[in-house]
Amino acid sequence: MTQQVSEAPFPTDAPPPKPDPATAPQPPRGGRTATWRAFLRRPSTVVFGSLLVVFVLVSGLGPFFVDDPMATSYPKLLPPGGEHLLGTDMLGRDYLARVVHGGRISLAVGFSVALLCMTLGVVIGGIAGFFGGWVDTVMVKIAEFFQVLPGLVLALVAAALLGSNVGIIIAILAITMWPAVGRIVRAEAMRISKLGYVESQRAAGFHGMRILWSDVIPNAMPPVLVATTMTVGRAILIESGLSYIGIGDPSNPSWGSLLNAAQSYMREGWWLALVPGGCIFLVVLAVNLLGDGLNDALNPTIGRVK
Amino acid sequence: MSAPLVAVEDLNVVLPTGHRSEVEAVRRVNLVISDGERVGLVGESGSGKSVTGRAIAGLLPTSPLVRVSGSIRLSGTEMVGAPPAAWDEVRRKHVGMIFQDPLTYLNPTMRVGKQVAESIPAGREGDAAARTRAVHRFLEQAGLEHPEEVAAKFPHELSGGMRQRVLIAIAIAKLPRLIIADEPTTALDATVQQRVLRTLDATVSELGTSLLLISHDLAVVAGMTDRIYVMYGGRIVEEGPTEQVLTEPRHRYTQALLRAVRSLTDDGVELYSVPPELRRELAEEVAADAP
Amino acid sequence: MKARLWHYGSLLLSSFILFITVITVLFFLLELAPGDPVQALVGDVPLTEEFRQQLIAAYGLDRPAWERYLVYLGNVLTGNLGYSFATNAEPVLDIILSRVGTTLALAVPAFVLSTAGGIVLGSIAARTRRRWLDAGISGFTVGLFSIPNFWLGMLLIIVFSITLGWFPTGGKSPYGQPGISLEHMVLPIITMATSELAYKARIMRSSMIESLGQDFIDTARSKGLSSRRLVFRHALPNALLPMITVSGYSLGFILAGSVLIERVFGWPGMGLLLVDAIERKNNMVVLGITIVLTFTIIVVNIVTDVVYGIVDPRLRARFTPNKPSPEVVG
Repeated sequence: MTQQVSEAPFPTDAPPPKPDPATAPQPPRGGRTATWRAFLRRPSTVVFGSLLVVFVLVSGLGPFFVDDPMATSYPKLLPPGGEHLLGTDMLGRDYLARVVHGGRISLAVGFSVALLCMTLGVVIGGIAGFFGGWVDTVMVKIAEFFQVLPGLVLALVAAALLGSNVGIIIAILAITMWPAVGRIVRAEAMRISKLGYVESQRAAGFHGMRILWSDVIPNAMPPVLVATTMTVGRAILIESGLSYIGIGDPSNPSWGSLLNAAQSYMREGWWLALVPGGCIFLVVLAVNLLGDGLNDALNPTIGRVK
Repeated sequence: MSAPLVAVEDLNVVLPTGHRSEVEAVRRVNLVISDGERVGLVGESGSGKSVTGRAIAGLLPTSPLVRVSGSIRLSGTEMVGAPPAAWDEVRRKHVGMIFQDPLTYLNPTMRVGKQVAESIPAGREGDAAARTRAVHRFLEQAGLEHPEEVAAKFPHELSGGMRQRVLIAIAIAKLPRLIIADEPTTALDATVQQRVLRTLDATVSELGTSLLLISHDLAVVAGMTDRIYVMYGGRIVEEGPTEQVLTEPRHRYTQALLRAVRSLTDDGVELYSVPPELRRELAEEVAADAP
Repeated sequence: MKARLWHYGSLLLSSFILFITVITVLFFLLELAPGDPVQALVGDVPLTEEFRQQLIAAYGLDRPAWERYLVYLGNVLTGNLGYSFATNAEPVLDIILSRVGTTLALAVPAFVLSTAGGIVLGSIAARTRRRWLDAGISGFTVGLFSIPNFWLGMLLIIVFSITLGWFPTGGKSPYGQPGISLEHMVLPIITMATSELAYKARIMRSSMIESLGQDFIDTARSKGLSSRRLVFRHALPNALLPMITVSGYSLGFILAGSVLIERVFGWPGMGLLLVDAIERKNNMVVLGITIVLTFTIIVVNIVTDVVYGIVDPRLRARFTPNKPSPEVVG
């Protein structure tokens, strides 16, 4: 959420007399480290950060410890508990193993899409904002395109027509989702490109890309990080939706694919629906709250005044 | 002798500037406004003059982080710590406020006439038609021609000077005993400024209200007021009849301020602004004065 | 007035270009689809060699791509979305139109409920002085926002239909009966409305906080107005303006999301039609639904813009793009 809610702390026409910098308490914007420390100290960061780390670790290392997710060697639809912590599915496969493997796919999709979006957004948004011209026009049009049309629909059709393996799905999601980041970088790049010292740097022969790298990106980074964090959650949600209606990668079932299979067994095997969905929920919640926290830490607003 | 209209004693206002930082915007301010008197409050931005004006109208931010101490008595009634309803009553009937920026201080989605009508206390004018007539009357009094047309417009359809007049109409519509004008012409260009000031002058005389005119511009205040307070760093540094303050300023800051104004208006006087040394000295004085 | 006409003219033009772009993208996706182009066209239906040749001739599959593109574009613009060969070669548009009402029966109530709920909840969160209430609402909305919507539907079915037996598990009416029954609508509407409600509540909260922080609120306070009047006459109308744009987007999201929700509840609308068509690789239907959805969303977008122009007295405001972006709302 990056609505900049401006809450004027003062009714005065101008800032108050500057207190002596030596004695004045440092504002929370004191520096980058202070911001990060403020972020990391938040209780919600600790709780949900740990939760996310646990999910990542389990998905990353879990596959080495759990059963073969494809082995159909157990009784069908065993409820959770006992030998099978999460029971077994309709074909008699250990559900814990399937959930752990599914998490690997869901998280991989979420994080790769976010990273791709960040890269695309920074490069395209930066170039568009900095150099303007037709690149800018095209980018604005593309961003509008994806703003009007829900990404889900486009991703769905593309995946349905092109066939669905994890790579294609990641690519499609990145293509539909990068403008969120692109817009932020573009705005920042436009602002910076109009500053006097950038003009002079340009005149001095500094390369545009270099200014982009040294000035635009560091300044745009806070909101970009927030948007990227949120993208992880949204990508996981959209991927799960795609898999749920059956256009996931059949050889790499994600949490959404497990839910697809669970649809027909809600009566006999509630855990088949509960567990993967709960995992998606927790991961997305954690990511969103971390993004929120990051946003608060980076844009401190003073307590509501009016 | 009855109590003065406004009596401010030992007023302190602390405003938050961040999560854990705050600033004492107004410090031990004493100020009196009698019935029908016109008082100027002069100081540069950040001197605490706006905060003082807002405190008198009870219009400081309603955050618990804003702390007000001391005493503000309006016609003898203590208002510091008074319940919001009491403040609403004061603002509904007795104190009108004119703000600086005429665009942002008008509701963009409400017609001008309605915004003025809201300021008329319920039941004073009788039926709806009488209220509408009153709205037109006040708009006219504030110097707007064709008040019927203006009333039907939205703020963005008016010019800056017209909008400022609408704000004046809003302030006088309640027939207040005191009008607080906070930099009422700063956002306007010079010629419009003069005309709006004349209107303000005329309406205040006509209604016989008291006026607290807040401005950074000594020249504006000089022509409009009987008495002047000069603020610096949240404190009042000089106070006296306008004539006297202008001719025999006692405080170094006032002297510097006057010299700066003269250097702009009088020919043959070298351009002058408050020198940094003096600012430094004054800042030290303020710091030494801290509790 | 001239500015207004100019604005609407360019809006219509850019909407048209957007629509053409979508059709173009879809055409290229179809071209890129792996496998036999004839099968890609008709889906998983067995074809006789004779019929095959007929199709190739009818669709010009032996002609160059740009020619086929122009034919396709022309067809779509004249309302010909092709034929569904899996179901007796019915015109795709007819099939879709027969489902539109069923989809809207869920989407419209979900839209109305989520908008009303979002405005109320967001305003309360912005207005309250009780920090726990604000924090509670914010937490609640982040929670709703993070739930996979279709999974929420599955949970509702498990709890309210299977365990408690209060509502039917799916379909739009009791077996064998025509029409739509109210009790079949309850759970899907709740499911559809929740995440949109969360989204709108969050936007409304920040919009309301911003509105309450505006200068004109000070003027209103200086009139000694009651806080009720302050909120309802001054803060709220201004806070609602961005909600118009947001609501426009949200209808698009609801329609897109209905694909998932209809699958959960076996609700035979456009969404379920799409899911079936994807399963059977009935690509003409897949493309057709996408085109109809896109068209609807673009029309909604135009309507949103017009409504905004009517509601916001500032003409100026309509030409400064300050649309909140739905993509970065978390």
